[in-house]
Amino acid sequence: MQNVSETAPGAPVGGSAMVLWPVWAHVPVGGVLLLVAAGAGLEGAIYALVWLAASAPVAWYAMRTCRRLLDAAAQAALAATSVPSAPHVEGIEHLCTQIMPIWSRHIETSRSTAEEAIINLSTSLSGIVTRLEATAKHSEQAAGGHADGSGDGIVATLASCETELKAVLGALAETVQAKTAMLSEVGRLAGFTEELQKMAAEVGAIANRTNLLALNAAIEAARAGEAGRGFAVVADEVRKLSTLSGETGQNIRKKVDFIGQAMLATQQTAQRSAEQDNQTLAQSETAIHGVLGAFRRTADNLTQSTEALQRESHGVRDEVASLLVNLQFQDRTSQMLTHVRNDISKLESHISEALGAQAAGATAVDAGVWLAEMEATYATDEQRANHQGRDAVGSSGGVSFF
Amino acid sequence: MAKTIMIVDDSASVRQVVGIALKGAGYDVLEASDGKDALAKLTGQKIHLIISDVNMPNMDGITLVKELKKHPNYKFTPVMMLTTESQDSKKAEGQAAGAKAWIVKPFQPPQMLDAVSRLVLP
Repeated sequence: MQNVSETAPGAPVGGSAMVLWPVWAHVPVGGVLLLVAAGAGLEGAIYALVWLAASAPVAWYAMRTCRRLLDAAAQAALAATSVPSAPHVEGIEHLCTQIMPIWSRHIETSRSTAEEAIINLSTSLSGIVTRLEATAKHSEQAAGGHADGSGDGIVATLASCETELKAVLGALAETVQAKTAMLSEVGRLAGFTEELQKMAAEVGAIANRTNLLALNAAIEAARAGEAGRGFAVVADEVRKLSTLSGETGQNIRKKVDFIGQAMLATQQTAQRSAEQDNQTLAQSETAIHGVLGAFRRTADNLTQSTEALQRESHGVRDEVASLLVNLQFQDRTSQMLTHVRNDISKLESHISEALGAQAAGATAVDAGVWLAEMEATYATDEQRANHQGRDAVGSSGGVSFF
Repeated sequence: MAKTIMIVDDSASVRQVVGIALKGAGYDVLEASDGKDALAKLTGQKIHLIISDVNMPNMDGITLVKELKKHPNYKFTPVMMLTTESQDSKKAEGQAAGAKAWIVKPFQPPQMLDAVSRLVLP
């Protein structure tokens, strides 16, 4: 377009003025010559006519050039306001049919590479979230359970242990109590032996006195002579009986003594045993509480870890949610690249047809129509904004309910 | 029993991203790549919600909604459009066809899940 648009619109007019000067020049010169010829007589007239005849072709040629320049100026003026048709880079159509398919393939490769990468990324992300949630749930189950011992998990196990150990301690305490009761029974029985000893002693005393009495009775019987003989036999028997009771009394006393000592020994043993039981009980209680305490601390740590894990899991899930928003770019990029690719193909087909076509007019492209057709295929605000050369306002996530 | 949601979109990455969001919220997900594929996969199983793109090859989203409204098994299944289109004229088309909601991409997972929980069949 250089030769038309770079020169000022006035230049062709000025140029034509310059070319026209022979024409302008002819009029006065011709007129003067005619006047001179009129005054110079026939010779002068002939010279003037010859001059005019000779210069006519020149004038005619100048006028034609002038008209051409004016036409060019008019066309240039017209061209400045409408679609310029015209000089193009030699060989451009051929280049386009070769290179556009290549551009298309580059674009498609970029698009599909990105798509594949995003899908892999999304899959990994999904895997991570799933595993994290499974771990958090597993941990919760291991640590969990209820305070009444139902369910699985450490809390439940801890509660059951506490209940059972307390039962064991209770049983131990009962045993100790039973022994103590037995001990006091034994003590009571020991008290009876004293009474038995006293009774045995009384039996002995009674035997002695009976013996003495029998002796006196025998003496009186001897003094009574014959008449007292029967009485002396009775007195003799009584003496034998009293001796027997005396021996029995002694035996009773020995036995009672024996029992008394045995009971004393039992009491002492039982006492020591009770003391030991108490000690054992106290030690058991301490040991059990120690174990339960350690167990509870472990359970508390585990519960805390589980809670921390749950918190992290929730945090990760939130991060993933925001990542998901960003990963959606792939879809929009894909759509835009596909549209560009389709349009490149369309233009390339058109140019290929043009190269093979006969009539030049049939293969003209109307940019306005072409652009409108492309705009109709758009599906995103960004594409429309780019098309119209303005900034796209980000519209996202808007939900409308019908 | 987890509820089943069908996601219809020609972009594999969108199906995946929506799938992650839905599965994270406890739903089962069924995928289809366009309207025709979706109809082929609806063989009588209970679907609690369908999420569909608008611009797809073979059968676009608006046509899919219209077809579903004529389907004996699925005419009461709610359909939610998930698309880059934000023009009111397109939204009106969707509403006229019978869609229950219109979400513009990119979506915010909490907002999308809220809409899902409001529309999904009991």
